[in-house]
Amino acid sequence: MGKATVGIGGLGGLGSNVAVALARTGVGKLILVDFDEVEESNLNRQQYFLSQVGALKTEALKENLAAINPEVELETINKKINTENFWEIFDQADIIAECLDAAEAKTMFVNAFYKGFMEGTNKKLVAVSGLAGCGPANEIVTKIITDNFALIGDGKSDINTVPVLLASRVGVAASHQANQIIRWIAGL
Amino acid sequence: MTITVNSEKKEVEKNITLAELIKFLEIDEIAIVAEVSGKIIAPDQYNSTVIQENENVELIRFVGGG
Repeated sequence: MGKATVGIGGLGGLGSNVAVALARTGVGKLILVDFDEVEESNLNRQQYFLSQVGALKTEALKENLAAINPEVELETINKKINTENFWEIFDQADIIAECLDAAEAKTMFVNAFYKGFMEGTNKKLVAVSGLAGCGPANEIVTKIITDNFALIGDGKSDINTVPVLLASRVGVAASHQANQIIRWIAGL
Repeated sequence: MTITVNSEKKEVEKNITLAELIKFLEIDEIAIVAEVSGKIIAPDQYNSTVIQENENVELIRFVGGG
């Protein structure tokens, strides 16, 4: 665990929860990427405090993670991820977590990973599709698509079509993501 | 020739490329991640990837939230 570098693209409901789980587990290094600020509406599911509303997510999360486990090396990148800067940002990461929110951004992220993916480098990606609303937690699954790519979610619950403002399963999906990352680090 | 797309059998022309298949299915290229016989294919390879008979194609459509 202590030698692994994990890149987290997006520090919202998924990303902030994955980061906390990995920091507690003792991952070596986290690359934290987001361009956005903490908003009050984020607090129902994201790992920030009321006092941090208005702060950059990268800065606020770095503060929180350092207070949880000062041994974890933390790199923050305050940028919007796109196809052109993807591998510049995640060059050092062994495993990359897709934690964005818009469907088009998620698609771009996965395709950007594969655009620069070199066979034999053994980089891995875990993405999420389908966690909106408060459907049954058991419908959130981890699918191993290839040796390098896992996909988590129920594959169908979109924030635009599920008419509920609760996000009770974000934590479930984030835990799946953190668990898959830990399994890969452990060679499972 | 017969191929499988998202678990459904489809009849398509021989030597169809992945790009042509996506267009034939009236899917927007930027809305999907494409997997052919267990390998994810990057968008810049869609024109050069030729689908073989009986191959299994998965076009993964992401939904929003996270």
